[in-house]
Amino acid sequence: MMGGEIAAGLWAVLAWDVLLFLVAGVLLGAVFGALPGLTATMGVAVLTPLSFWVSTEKGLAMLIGIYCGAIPAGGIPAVLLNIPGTPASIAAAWDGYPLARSGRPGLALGVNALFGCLGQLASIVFLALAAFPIASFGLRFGPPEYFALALFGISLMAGVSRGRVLKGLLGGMLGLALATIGLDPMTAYPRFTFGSPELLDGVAFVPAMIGLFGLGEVLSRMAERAAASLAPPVLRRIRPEWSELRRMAAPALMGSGVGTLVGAVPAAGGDIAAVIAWEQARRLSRRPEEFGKGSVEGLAASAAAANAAIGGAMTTMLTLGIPGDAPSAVLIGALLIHGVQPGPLLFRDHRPLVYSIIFLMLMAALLILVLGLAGARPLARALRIPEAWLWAGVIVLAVVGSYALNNSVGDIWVMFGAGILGLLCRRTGVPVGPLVLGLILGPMMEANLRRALILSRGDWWAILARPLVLVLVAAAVASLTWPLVQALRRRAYSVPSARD
Amino acid sequence: MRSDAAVAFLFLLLGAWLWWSAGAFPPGVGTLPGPGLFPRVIGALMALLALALLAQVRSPAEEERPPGELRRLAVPLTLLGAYLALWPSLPFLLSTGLFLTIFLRWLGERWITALVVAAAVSISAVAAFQYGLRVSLP
Repeated sequence: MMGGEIAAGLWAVLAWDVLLFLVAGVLLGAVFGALPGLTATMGVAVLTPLSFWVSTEKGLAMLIGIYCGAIPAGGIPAVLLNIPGTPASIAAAWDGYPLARSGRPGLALGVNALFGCLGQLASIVFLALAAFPIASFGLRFGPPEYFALALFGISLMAGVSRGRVLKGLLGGMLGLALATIGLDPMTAYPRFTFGSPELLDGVAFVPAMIGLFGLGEVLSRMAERAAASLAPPVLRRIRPEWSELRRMAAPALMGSGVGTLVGAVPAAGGDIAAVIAWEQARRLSRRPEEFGKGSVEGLAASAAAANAAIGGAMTTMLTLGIPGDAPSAVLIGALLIHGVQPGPLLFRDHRPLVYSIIFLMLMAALLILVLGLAGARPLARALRIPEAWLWAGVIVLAVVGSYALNNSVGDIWVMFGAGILGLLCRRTGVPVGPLVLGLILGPMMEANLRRALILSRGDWWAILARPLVLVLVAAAVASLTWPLVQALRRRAYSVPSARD
Repeated sequence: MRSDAAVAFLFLLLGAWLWWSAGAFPPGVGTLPGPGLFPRVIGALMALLALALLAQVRSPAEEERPPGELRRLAVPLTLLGAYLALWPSLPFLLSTGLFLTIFLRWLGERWITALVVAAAVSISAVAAFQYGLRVSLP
């Protein structure tokens, strides 16, 4: 039975046209990741509408390809220009850029690609092994547990908003508030629609994502007047030597483990994973003094962790319906377009599709290795494209993509409004991540809270009395208070952080 | 910081408005909570968090960002707004080509570069969406 489902999942993705979409996705992802100003999340968001017209497998192949291709490619500008292509590649710049400046830019790119692939493969193994037990555990959840899980997800997102806990929570509340627009799912009463029939269905999720992550990012870059001309150096040797590989094996394996686990925590993505892995690798290294000055170990650990976070994030997203990071949050919207609802039921009702996703991720990981080693030179050359041209392309893609979903001009205005909201959030320091999480988790949170209240006959304490709910609520409180405790400890002992 | 105070004040207003507007929604029936319960809870929490943020604002004279950053966006946002308003009434190639040419010129590109890039992006969009995906563009 299980073997048949695995074979069905593999067979569905082995079709030549599905593979073509995967290759196209990885290439597009590499472009989005490699070009500063474009991100993995933006790539998945603005290209989601393209997947609407093709089968679920082809659409997923393209979007998974973009996600898996963008993260390692984000290391290319980090290494060559000290500008992280995606947030996950921040730590790659710490050692990659000094390594490139010391005359070995090719080697830095090779390490980034090789260990990025290793990180992804390790996390996919975790996904394959852990996802089914987690999902079957998730099947035991009732409405109170789902409500508490959504609460926990939002608290984590706010908790990792680095010194901006209050603004993170306010962003989450704004997302939850936006999620209430439209017909009430239980009584069909119109809420906050201002008489507009187009708002009865609620805020269109995909156009909102395109606006928040695509247009919002472009507008924010324009406000900053970011650098427009980039000049990457000439590459020489790309593949590492055996002696170097031996040195990097242990930190890369550690980075893969850390990245997978951190990625699996809702809202903690590749950026946090890479920073933690880099710091751990420095502590465990025999040559800690080289870290930050071009250490191949530091680069291997951070690249592996940033990429391993993908599998971790996908595990949480697929099994519980809670996004592990921003790109997986957008992927939820894309899956819903294709009629696939992430969560425990996916593992009960659509097992072959789950295996298809795992196989697609495996193939994407291998593709990024080939692309990273063979395509490093053309991708480095692509960095010379002026930013103004990229902005023009992203704006048109955002507008047409939003319209194309439903042939609706209203969706374009939703995208425009979300773009301005995204810009305002970025300029005022309100993190966009919790806002998106609120938008995604809002309907789940509200519906389950109300169902739980019906079951408990309106008794709030009866909801809290369930053991798993208590654990999740306690974890939510802990994640919110942890940054405060850290700040107090830092103030008390004046402990300097490794790399702030 | 001044921007933090402004953010806190805006969220406070929004939270209060949510609480007030959701109060007008019909009440629940029996043990079924009404449609206003969740927005009211969100509104109250938002207002409380905004007050906490307001309490954290220490130095009102400090400014986080150089002034005029958002003012720079007045031109592209107006251009984009006009482009979207004209979207249903003008042919796609014309409106997009025109918008992109002016946008790229504003960003400092030369006339010829702006025209070529605008044409390339517009034609690529038509090829991908209209002919590739059968989307009916204006």
